[in-house]
Amino acid sequence: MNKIVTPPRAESTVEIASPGEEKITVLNPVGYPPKINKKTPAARPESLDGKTIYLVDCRFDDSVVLLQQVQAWFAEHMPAVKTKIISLSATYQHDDPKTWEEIKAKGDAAIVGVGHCSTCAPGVATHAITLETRYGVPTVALHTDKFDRVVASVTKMAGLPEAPRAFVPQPVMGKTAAELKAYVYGKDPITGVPIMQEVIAGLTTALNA
Amino acid sequence: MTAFERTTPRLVEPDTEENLQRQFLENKWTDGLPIVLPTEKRVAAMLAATSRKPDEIVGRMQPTEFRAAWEYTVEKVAVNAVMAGARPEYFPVILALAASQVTARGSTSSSSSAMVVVNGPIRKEIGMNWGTGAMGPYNHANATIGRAYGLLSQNLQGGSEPGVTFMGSQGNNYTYNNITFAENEERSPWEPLHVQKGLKATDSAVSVFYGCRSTTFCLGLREKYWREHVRDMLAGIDGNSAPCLILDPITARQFIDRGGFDTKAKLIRWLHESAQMPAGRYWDLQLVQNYVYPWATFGKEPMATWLKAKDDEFINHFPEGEINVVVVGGETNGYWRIMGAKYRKTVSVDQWR
Repeated sequence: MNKIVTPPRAESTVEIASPGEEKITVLNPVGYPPKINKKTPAARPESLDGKTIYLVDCRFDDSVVLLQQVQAWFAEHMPAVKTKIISLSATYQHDDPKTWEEIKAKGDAAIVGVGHCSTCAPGVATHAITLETRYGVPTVALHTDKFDRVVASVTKMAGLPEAPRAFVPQPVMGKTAAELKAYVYGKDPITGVPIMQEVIAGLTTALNA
Repeated sequence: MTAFERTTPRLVEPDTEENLQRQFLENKWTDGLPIVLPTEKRVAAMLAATSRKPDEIVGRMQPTEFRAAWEYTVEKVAVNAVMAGARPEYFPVILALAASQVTARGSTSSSSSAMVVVNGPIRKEIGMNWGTGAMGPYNHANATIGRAYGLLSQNLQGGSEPGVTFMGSQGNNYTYNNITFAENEERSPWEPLHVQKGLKATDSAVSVFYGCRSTTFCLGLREKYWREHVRDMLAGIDGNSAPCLILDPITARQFIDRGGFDTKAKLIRWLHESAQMPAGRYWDLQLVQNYVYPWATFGKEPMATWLKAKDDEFINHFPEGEINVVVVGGETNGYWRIMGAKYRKTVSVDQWR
């Protein structure tokens, strides 16, 4: 059997270099931010009765399945509201003027979703702001809760920090229709407010200028 | 047109070295490791290594699409180069990387990394490694240029903060130095990467790839089943990426011996023809559903044509123009790998000298 040799303990008198007290000047490594231009949101209708709401599928993971549950909620709770699901022309990574023109011409409001990745959350937020500020369409963005700080940062830099949004739990990907229905009928995990209450308020309550 | 504000102060409030190291760490200006403090003297030495003026705008960068891009100057790049521990002679390479405007700190939840290939005479001038261990930590230029690319990306694009400007669910260890190496032009049987991208062999250049999540790996090419083995490897590359073969010179020559690929272009053509998947299985990949399928329905080719295939019909799902081949390694053996990495850009280093 090999004898285990314990190494000698290090002397405890090893001197740690004391930090220099002299103050030194260094340069800031951070770049230059873009100028923020404040944007004006669209006017809100007093009621959604008789109005057409476009549900815009950003085509990431199972967004459309969640929007189908939003559509079902309206059919059950606000049957006077018409809804139409529409998918972006290509990926969420690109602006989609053709789709925005259709919504402006045929719709009264929009819900864009779901922002549930690092680029589609900024994409959904940006598309919603585009609809609001360039096309005059009241819009709410739907995201998952993991991306709340991402969305806050993007809407601030885009000049519309008060852009309406609601958050459902993460993940949406791979969830059944029944599970996503529970999301839609449930509460926003960030605010504790029922999801659809936030959505309706976002489409009908004037935003702070 | 976007306007940029010069609100970022040029200097940090003077303090002790220990306090400044802590401040840089707390401000999320580092990669978590100690940095070289960017004193005016060190930054001036870095700036002396380029003919460009300190206040010249180099570019704009953003963590991902739909996030506001930030702007930066030569001096700002120099500050980050000093922080990474780079020597002034590396600065033209680092400026070229900054000029690519491709971030090495993408926010993507998929946890990407950049990969940097340096070509041309600059490799020798600054002592880069393209031989044994080139993709590892053993060479000062490789190590600090790659680290500088990461630091400049996070600081010049307005941050890379988990939960806000970085959402990589698992993260990617490659991002500590962004797989920065030089191509082994001396032992490669083919033309260098930058020549493929339109530059002269006597030019110096950096090429940036992005992705580096999926990797498959092998030793050499066996006589009987080498074609099948390569096909198996290609099948392991994620569908929204593109294969980039990273070949030790031993394996590069084996591809010529086995397949007669005496140019990179011939090898790339064969790889494109060999990488196949049944259409139904391909379209069911989540990444393909998210990023390729929408373009196919939009009518973009070749995806639109792939969409017409029956479920059991094989499609060649890696476009020929997106496949790349790079030679690196010290010939200690014929190990090689395929990295799932999309080519983004090649930038001249000479224009930043």
